[in-house]
Amino acid sequence: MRVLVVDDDEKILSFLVNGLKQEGFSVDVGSDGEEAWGLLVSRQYDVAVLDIMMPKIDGLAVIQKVRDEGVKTPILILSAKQKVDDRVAGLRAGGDDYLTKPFAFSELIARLQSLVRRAQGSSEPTLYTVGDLTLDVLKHEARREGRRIELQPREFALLLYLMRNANRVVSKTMIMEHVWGYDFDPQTNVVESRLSRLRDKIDEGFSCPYIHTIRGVGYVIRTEV
Amino acid sequence: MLSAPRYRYFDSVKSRLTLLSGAIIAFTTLAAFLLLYGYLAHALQSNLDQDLFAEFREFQSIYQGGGLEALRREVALEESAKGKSQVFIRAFDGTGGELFTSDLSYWSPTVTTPPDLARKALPVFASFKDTGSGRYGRSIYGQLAPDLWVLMGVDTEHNEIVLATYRQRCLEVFAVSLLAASFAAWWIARRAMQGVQALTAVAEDITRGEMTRRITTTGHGREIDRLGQVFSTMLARIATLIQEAKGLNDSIAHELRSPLTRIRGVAEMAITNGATLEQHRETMAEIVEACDGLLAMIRSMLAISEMESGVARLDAQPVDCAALVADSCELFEPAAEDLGIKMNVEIAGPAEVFGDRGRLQQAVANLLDNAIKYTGSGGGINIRVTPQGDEVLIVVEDTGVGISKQDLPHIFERFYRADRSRSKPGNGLGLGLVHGIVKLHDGRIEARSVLGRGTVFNVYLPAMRSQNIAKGQ
Repeated sequence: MRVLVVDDDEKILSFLVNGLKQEGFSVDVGSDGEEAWGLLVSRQYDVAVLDIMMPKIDGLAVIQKVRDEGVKTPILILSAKQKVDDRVAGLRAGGDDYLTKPFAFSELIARLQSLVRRAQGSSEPTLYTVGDLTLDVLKHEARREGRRIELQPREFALLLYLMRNANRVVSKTMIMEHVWGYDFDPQTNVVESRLSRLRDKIDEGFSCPYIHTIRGVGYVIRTEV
Repeated sequence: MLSAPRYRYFDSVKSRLTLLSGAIIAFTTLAAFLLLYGYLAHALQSNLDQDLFAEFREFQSIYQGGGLEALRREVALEESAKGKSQVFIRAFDGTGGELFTSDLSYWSPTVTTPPDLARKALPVFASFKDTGSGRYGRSIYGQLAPDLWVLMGVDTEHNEIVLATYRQRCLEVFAVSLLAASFAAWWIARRAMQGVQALTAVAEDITRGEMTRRITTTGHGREIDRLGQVFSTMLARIATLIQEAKGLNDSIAHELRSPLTRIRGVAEMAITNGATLEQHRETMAEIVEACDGLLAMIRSMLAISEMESGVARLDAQPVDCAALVADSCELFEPAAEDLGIKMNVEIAGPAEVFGDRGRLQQAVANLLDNAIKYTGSGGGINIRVTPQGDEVLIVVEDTGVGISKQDLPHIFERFYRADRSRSKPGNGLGLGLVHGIVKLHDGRIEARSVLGRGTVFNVYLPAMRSQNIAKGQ
């Protein structure tokens, strides 16, 4: 997947480039609005990450310009501005998603992948598989080694979210947002408790645990230990 | 410091008041004098006209009694009595031919020529100025008998002298009174402004740094005293705010210091001690967690100050508090269970409010966080949602450690922690945020507590009615 990253802060830029390359993206970079515009209109990208406050032309103006010229590349806005008004302005200008700094890298990856998926029009699969664990969205059931696992609705949603992002670490904040619709993470470790219950049902009694806690970052479902 | 703009002299209130009162006094005095002058001039003239007319009548009766000769004698008599320079009398027949005249050598011909008027029965008066001698006079011209016309003129110098004297005196009086009045006005204005100047002096002292100085009663009148009181109240309010801001700064610095110290410490340890990859991972995880804590604190701080400064906008929509609280409880239940705390939820039907769903979720979650944090294993938390008239009541009751009487009034302040050892996690902003959110929704929050027995938080939010919707839009 080809991604364009534009930010005038060199440190953030190199951090983004390294991280995205590790995730298997092929990355082009720009450091100001003019470069961003030039690259977006001349090359084809699967997705672009744009800072708002940039020299020469600011991010919003770039987005408006390339949208006027018919460029359909999905654009994720990266900004230090947290206010609702700023988000609205970004999305109105033609941005497809908005992430505020500082951000969790895993969240950026998840959002970029979801943008690409949406742009490519690939529909959500109805069956997810991780090792011998399967989750059928239509039948609303989970099985491991063919045995049916009884899940509460919230546990099902949690597992679905993890499996959708299989092999990718998701943060507690992301889980709170996607499973409970909270845009914050309460002090009480509510996700951990819920996850340990889910873990009991999925991994208990099996030789290979699938749900892993990555301390400080979040959780991941994968077959390797 | 205040930079004083360049003022011209007449920009001061004192000068303006002086000038204004002076102008008003000058104008009224002048108007009065002019009016009186008009009356006087008129009175003098009508007096003169009466005299002239009486003379005219006398001539008439003399002519009727003794004919033209008698009249001629009378005229000569009159002329010598009043003086040739003071009076002239001429008589004409019906065709305008002169019958006789007094000595006209003192008068210029323009004055002594009868006016060319349609011949009327009634006598006509006229004022004139003798161009030759520059004297003023008044004349009467009329028909004495069917073919006898008389023109008589007199010098009015006496009247002119009276009027000139009057003008002179008026001018003097006017000048003196203008001076006196201006001085009086200046003095009054100065007195009135003294109070303001006293206030200004105190205010300047305060600006220079004597922050504790207050304006006391000035003795310059109620209005000025009132201004002083308002100033004092304002200063007290500002002093409190400065104090609060200072306290807040200290708290922020303190709250930032401990996690930063921890981050620095573990990072330093990782560098200096040779460690395995796994140990490095541990260290990094600890750093990430500490950073997340800091970020959460900054977010809460921004949210609180945004709400306190009144710039926060409610993304308001109808929200069912019953469902919202039920969801929150469902979210917290496993965590509470893990800690050995029993959650008991009572919801009495739907309870709609017009509010910001995200913020209300945050408020309820913070109350639950707080309850769980201070309730030990084996304890319980009761949550109730009840519609009460035009309010929705949300109760979060715990059987935790409770809050002392001294601490209770402060629990909604930023960074205030009853738990002084800070053994529990948290940044001291949770309840402050709840308070801000409830206030933003025009609601109120009450806390009751018994040390060692538990704490009850009652949140009252205005129930949704049509006017809430109107207000939100």
